[in-house]
Amino acid sequence: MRHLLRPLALLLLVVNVVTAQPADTVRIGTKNFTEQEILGELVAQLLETYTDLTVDRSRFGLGGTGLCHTALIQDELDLYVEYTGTALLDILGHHGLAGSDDVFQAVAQAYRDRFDVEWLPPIGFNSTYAIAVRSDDAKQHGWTRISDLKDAATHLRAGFTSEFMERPDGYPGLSRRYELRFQEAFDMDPGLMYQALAEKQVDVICAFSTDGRVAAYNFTILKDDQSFFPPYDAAPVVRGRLLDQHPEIRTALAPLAGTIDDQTMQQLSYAVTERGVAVPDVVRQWIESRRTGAGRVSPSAPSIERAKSNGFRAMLYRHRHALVRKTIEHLDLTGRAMLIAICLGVPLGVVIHRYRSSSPFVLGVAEIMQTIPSLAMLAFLFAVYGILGTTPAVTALVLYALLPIVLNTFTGLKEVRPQVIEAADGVGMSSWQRLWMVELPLALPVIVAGIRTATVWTVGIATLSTYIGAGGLGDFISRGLARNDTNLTLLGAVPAAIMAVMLSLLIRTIERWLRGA
Amino acid sequence: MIVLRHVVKSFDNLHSFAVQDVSLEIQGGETVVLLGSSGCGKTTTLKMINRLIELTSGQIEIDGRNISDIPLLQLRRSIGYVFQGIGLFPHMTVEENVAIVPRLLRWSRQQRRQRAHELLELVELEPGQFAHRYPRHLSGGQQQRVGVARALATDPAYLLMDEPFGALDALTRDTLQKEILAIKKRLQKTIIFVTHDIFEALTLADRIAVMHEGRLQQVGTGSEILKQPATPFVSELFAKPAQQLAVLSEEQG
Repeated sequence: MRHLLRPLALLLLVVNVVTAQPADTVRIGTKNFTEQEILGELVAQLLETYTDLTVDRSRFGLGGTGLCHTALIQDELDLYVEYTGTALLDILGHHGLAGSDDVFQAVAQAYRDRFDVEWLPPIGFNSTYAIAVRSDDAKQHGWTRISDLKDAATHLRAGFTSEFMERPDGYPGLSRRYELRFQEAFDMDPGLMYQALAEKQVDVICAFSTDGRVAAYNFTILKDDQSFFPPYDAAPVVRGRLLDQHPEIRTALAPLAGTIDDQTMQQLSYAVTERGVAVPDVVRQWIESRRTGAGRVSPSAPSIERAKSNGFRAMLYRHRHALVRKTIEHLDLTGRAMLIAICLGVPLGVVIHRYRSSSPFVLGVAEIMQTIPSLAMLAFLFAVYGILGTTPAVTALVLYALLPIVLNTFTGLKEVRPQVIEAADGVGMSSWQRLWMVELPLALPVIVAGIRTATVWTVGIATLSTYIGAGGLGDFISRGLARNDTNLTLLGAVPAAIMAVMLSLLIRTIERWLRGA
Repeated sequence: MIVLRHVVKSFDNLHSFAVQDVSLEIQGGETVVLLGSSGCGKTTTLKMINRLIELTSGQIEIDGRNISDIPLLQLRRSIGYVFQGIGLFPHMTVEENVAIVPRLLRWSRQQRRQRAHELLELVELEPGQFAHRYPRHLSGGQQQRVGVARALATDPAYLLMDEPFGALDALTRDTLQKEILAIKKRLQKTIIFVTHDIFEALTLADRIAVMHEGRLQQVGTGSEILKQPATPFVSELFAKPAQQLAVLSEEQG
């Protein structure tokens, strides 16, 4: 046995080495909000400019800290920008450290020891959480510190990101430290939160201190007088092994250290979210301005103003190549998922029709699967596979698509008239022949109807694949949501809707044709 | 020859009996009609012969072989069966329906086609006109002709017919009955025919087997039964036809 296993292990090793990412490619990731995208792009452009390395951006926009971190330590990702406070609390589970330097040292040491991941020097700004209110309210009630909210809180509605709602350094800790109990706390998309505050749908939000919209919307950030929020110094984290192989990464990113302060970060974010400049352009301009010594990015350049005002058609034109690519990715995800779901679902439907007692169990499981929130499913499957991208995404889509296919196969078979079944038996068909020649052909229109339902769902759910780096039209939607950019959101949502309708019509035509035949 | 010996069928663990102690011999080339009202066990008896229903006790032999010793699919493919109501496959054309057993027996496409067309001609459906239609485009009578053609596809020695004409109008039924008689004469089939229609039984049967509540009441030719009904049930069942026959013969006499 052992001499059999050894060559096999060797073969696997060889295959692994051969199929592994080419060593001169750096896979950069980001979380799914604008600041992260800018920082990811910044690192990417610096590496492209100052090293011979190739950058893989397919992991931009991952659905949260957990995904980024897991991807990094499982060698699915080489580099992303993390915040010291997030690493300390969320990843390492430490509490009670204050002071930027102390936190950075502690985090860097722990990452090196535990994950073989290196922290590069902080970029400069401290992207801490901040409690923001409308400036009018602040003036009227004399609020300057978070402590000032204590009495009013029971009449105030808060809008927090889902991450803030959960994190120990978020709402749970905040409410304990400041003894705050808001009237209501809504779980909101980060992109919509600012608008909700401006439009008085909520009274308090958890902004990022570096977010350009704080100034743009005329919000006031309340002072963290009890030093509740830990420092959130942003810095690139890199897999140690990659850094050993390519020390030039450290050199290329060295100029980044301490160069972007809170205000600059706000301006960069603002250029993207409010002026609609493409992220690569914002980054290119900034790098250019650094090189020429101009120092500041100039977000009010005329070209920038034009970009946003031209609206959807300009957006469409600008992203036309990306749109084609993302549409193909989306079709690819949907197609693969449906192919697998049909290959699994139809036989499963046949089996539970044959062994009728198993049907409540199988259909029950399929139904429960449907109720799992899509994002949770994606995160879970990523954890199971340990890889990002299409594999966990397609798996999730398959699991969702199974129910309508299994159910309709089962129902279609059940609805075949008993006289026809008896005739099939009576002429001497074996049970397989009966299935192939009579039952499945007669159930086919119903099965195809199930496939149609599943396809429409799959096109919709596939838009979430973006959160685990599987691409597709969801990339536009999540970026649009993060920037509160309706046009960009529509650029993903409209083609996805059209795709769903077209596929539905196509399959319906097949269905009609089958019923007619 | 088909022989039924003390055949019993219970669907509920011997609490009640759908068929109770039925013994019957059907000679080669003979047409025996199982006659009785609905629920009397006639269809159950028929289905036990090709094991669409398994018997509870007793035994059935075909040409001296116990049917439980014959492989199930071989048994069924060797017996033509015409189903009650519409037993055609709705997704197959007339030709495909007729040629289904040849297909199961792996005849070539050419052979199947040729056979189907022969049979359609036999049941007086013009192949050129009907071969490629689907069952739902046919009238009830035409559908049942296809059913008969299908049962005859492999030229089986035995034909089981389960109230094949029950749903048809009187005129069509009449025509089809005549055709069955003609086919039978031409092809020398042994037929077991189930019906609740006394006139149909009298028209088709060499012998009639009257069933009631799962039991065989009397077996004999039509005139034997008319003259000497064996039980009160039989005499009551045949009272009206007997009367009409008497009136007819008086008029003729």
